[in-house]
Amino acid sequence: MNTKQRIASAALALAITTIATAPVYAEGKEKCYGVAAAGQNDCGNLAGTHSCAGASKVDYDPGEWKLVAKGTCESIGGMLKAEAKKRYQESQR
Amino acid sequence: MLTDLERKALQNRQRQLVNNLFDQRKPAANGLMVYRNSLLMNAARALSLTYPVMTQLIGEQAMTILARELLLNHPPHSGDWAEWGGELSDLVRQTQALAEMGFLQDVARLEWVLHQVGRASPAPIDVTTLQHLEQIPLNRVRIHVSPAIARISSDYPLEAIWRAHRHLAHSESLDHRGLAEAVADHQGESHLLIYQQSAVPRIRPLSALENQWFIDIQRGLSVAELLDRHPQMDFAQWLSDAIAHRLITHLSKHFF
Amino acid sequence: MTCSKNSVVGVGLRYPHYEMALNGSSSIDFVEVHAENFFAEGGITAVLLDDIRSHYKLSLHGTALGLGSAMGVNEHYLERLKHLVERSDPWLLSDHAAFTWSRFNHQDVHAGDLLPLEFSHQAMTVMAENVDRVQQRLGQKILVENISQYVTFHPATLSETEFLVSLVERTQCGLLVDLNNLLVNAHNAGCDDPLSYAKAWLREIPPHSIGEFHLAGSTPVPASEILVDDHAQPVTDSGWSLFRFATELAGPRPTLIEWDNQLPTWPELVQQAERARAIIHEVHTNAH
Repeated sequence: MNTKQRIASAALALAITTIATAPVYAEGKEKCYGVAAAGQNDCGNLAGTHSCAGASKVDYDPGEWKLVAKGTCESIGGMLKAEAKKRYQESQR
Repeated sequence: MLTDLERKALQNRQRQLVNNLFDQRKPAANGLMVYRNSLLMNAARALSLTYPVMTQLIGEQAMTILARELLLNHPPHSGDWAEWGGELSDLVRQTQALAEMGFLQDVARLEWVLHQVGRASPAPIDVTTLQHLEQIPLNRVRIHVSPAIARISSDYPLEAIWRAHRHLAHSESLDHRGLAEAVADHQGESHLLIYQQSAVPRIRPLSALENQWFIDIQRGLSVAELLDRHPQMDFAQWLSDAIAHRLITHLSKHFF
Repeated sequence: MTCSKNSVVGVGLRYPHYEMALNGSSSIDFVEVHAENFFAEGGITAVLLDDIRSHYKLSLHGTALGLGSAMGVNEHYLERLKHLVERSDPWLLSDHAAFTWSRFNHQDVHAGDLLPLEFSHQAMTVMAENVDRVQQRLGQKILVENISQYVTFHPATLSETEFLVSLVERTQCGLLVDLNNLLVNAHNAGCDDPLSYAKAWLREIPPHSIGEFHLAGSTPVPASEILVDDHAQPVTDSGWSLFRFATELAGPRPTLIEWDNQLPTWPELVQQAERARAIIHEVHTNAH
């Protein structure tokens, strides 16, 4: 028996044990449905709702890409930039 | 019965209304505006549910504007809003103000993949085919990766960014310190595996070795070739884990 | 008094209420969910659907079937709906008198909303073909709901009720009468007395064709503004009197409260359904 075949046989043996004992086959139900089950279609039967929603709040100007400042992405971007700069400076030393 | 002409004419009348809704550039009367708002708000809401971390990153208004762009260029076609919006990552890349923050494209890509994996129904492995490992020469045995899993590679600490945001909706504030540490620790490319467990999509990091192992499996290399190429890989451990997490569907035998 | 269980009431189940609705007990008889939310092959929604079915009778309410689409109903969509129906064996199955499938920029699109039909013989023929095909495929009777609408197609040669009654005759489908939509449409058509309009509308519908009622409330607006059916309020007083009238006319029918925006607490929502039940009982008692 060559080395590869020994590895494969060992893998098969462990696999069989896994199948016999692995809990995946009796999957526990997660009672926390969370946002995953929020339902993208829950506004579909509502023509023109305000709050499936808040049309009036939206600034439609297509040039308004400054809008991104409303989220957290600038602070992430800042962190990544600062880190890159630090690494660059270290590499220059 | 309808004549072809009557049917065509009715189709055209319906089409005209749809054109007036999707192309939001032309002015519209009040009644039509109700439908336009509804379409945009449905789209924006669906997009935010599918991409919750993106929504935290760029805010709801930006998501609404992206939704409007997607509606125009990639309108829905399935009747299920959850299947719409897969082009968000591409759109982010093509949008000047967002493109410079390269991690945004990767977050969008990750969220779409998570969404897909979370909707899949992964099959358990076909156990009988495992016997190939002893009954067939290993240079003729191939492993088949489950279509219900995905891998993503990124230049950014993608997992840390995603984890820092996923609970933000519950009014916690962003963990700046933890994130900064992850950014500082991050070296080069990161690889993630996305799979489903207990009906929910999960993320876990892949080492460069394990990632290459997956790539080689998916290129169709035999078990013999895989073991030759990756002597450091603990095959038994990997196989056992792949079965437990339904990462593979079966082994197959091949003739030359 | 024989308080026979002829009152069947339910609510639209939305995700903020999942935990409450599925972990406790509730007096309501059925819940309605939007069919497309359960189109995924697996994952958490498949688990959720099983949980819902173990607690309540299930009404599957489609939002996207587009039964009035002159393009026809999308085959892939219909296939998935069939799969869902087989998997969940719903007690009631419904969608709307609306169109959704069309073309935009040289591609097939789904309009993502309930778009209004023209009330003409041509449109009715198309709708009857589609309803026939869907019922044949699903092997089940469907209920078709009247929608609220904010624009009208000009060549209206039929009234809405003529259109729906004729559809029922041709296809043996049932009707899901949304009472609030009647009031909303009456307001937006400039009726001085929306309640009278809605009652007259109901009198034109054969009672036996009505398979379910929907009740909802909309955010009030001044008479001159468009009233939007936003399902964001409790049922209004005129909504309740219309429901009483409808129940007197048609007899008890499964009745559902729809509430989608600015959701109340679960007990408040259930209370709305119980109010509907009380009205059904009152009507029943008075009739005997």
